[in-house]
Amino acid sequence: MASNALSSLALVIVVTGLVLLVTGVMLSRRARRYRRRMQALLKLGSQNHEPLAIPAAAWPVLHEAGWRHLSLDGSWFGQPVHIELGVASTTAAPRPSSDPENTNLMQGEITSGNDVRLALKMTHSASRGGTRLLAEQLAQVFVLLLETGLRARTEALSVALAERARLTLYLQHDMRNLAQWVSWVCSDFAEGADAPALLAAARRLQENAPLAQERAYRLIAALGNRPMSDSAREIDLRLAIAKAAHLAGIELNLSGQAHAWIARGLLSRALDNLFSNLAPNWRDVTAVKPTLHLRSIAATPEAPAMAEIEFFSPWPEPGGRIEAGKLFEPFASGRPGGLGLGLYQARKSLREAGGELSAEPGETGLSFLLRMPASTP
Amino acid sequence: MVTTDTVPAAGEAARAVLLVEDDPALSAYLASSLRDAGYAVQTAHDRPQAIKVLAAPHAPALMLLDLGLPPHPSTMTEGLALLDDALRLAPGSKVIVLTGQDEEAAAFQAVRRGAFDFLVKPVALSTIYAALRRAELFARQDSLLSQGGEARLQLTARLHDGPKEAAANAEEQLLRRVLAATGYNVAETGRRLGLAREHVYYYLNKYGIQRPQ
Repeated sequence: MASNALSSLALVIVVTGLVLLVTGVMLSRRARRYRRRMQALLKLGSQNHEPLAIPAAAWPVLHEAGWRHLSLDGSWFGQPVHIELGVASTTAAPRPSSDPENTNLMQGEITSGNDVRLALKMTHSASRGGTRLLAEQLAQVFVLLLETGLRARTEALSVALAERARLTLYLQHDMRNLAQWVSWVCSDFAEGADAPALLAAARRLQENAPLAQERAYRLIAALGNRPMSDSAREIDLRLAIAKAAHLAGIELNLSGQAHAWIARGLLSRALDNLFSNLAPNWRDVTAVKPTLHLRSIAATPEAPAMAEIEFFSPWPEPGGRIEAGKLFEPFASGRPGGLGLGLYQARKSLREAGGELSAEPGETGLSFLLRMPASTP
Repeated sequence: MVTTDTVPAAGEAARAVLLVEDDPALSAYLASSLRDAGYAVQTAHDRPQAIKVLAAPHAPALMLLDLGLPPHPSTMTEGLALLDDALRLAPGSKVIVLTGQDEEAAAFQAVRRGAFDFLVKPVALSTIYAALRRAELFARQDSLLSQGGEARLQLTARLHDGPKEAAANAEEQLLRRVLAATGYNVAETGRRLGLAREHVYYYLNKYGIQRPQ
């Protein structure tokens, strides 16, 4: 009897020992797998992936960890984003639960001002347990990677925009040129010896003052000080376009007529960026002057009155074509050495004014459409 | 955007000015002042526009050139390249360089490449006119020399390249100048230089000279 009890105890001890051994081995293997996956994810951080390319790069690791479906939807610098990885199968479908922690679904939002808003949804094969717990840690690292990529992009954007303003101000000599212009005007009047000379100086001033005034407005805007009076007002789009084109050194044909209700600073920033971005294409590729069509769209019960500008711009030659989805993305440029900020800033300015800038890519170029609030009589 | 007054006849070339300035406000004001002073003014805002004017028959003998031009207005690259183009396409032209950039470096580069004068912004209108009058005078004298069968060349030679290289530079410049003066007429160039046509072709090939498009 006693020997039976002893042999049973020995058996229990052996079985328990074996169970502990197997469990230990399993836990050790799981820990190694977890460490390997974590290292693979962290490695992505040093590989300079485009932020939107991170989900695809991380997916093999996440899938291995039990994540069955990942979706990223929203807007990335004005472009719609829809990324879907894995299969939203019925077995792995989100299971609603009264307990928010007891679900297959993990979701969150990644944002940066008005430029980026992405909704992330991930579905795991398990709703609880150790595997799910470890997989969640990996998913959180993945989210951190995405956020880091986004922050790096938006910080670089802020730096680039500040640098661009500095370049415009100091290196392009806008200030110095304006000072030069003023000094010529002054010397013309100061040295005007007789009435005809003074009259000639006055005529010259009258002819050239509007351009210098525009330059002054742009300098004020570049300094970050929007004039106190720069609230929305009625602006004749034909005149505004003609001035911006003159400053960009291009010639345009204008058809139609429209008046916008917009802050002068926002409109000129949009047109300046757009024209300076497209001017090289117009000069180099087209032999004829581009035509801009202006029109007013009457208000409806659903939408307010809008003013529209529509035109076509050829692709730059050679090989300067930019992927349509990246047109308005900062740092994406079709020109060698281009900063890739012109179209981004143009769209941002129009949106700030309650309008929109869109572009439809075609075989030979892009069809642009600018929309902004119209002035109402 | 190239703006042009009435294209000057060959004899009036010395009063014609090509103004290359990318700032439209400055360009328009200075052009207006020059026209009031009796100059025929053509304006260009960048290098390709200026080259079109320089490659045309009877290119202006005088040129006011802002060194900071698009697409790199913050550097002298485009302006200096245009200075080279100008002296290649219209070797007798007098180029007055205007710059608001690193004065010393710009002056060195401009003089080295053959600029006639060098003015630093901000510059008084009276200073520009004084430089133009001097350039005009030199252009006229060059024109008289040319009519007398002579040419005044301006060379920048590297000393360690030796006299042979300097002679080749002079040879090329002489050929370019006569070709420009004859509208790239090989027979007339040969006649003026006392060379057979075959020899002119030999030099054209040697220096890779082509008629401007």
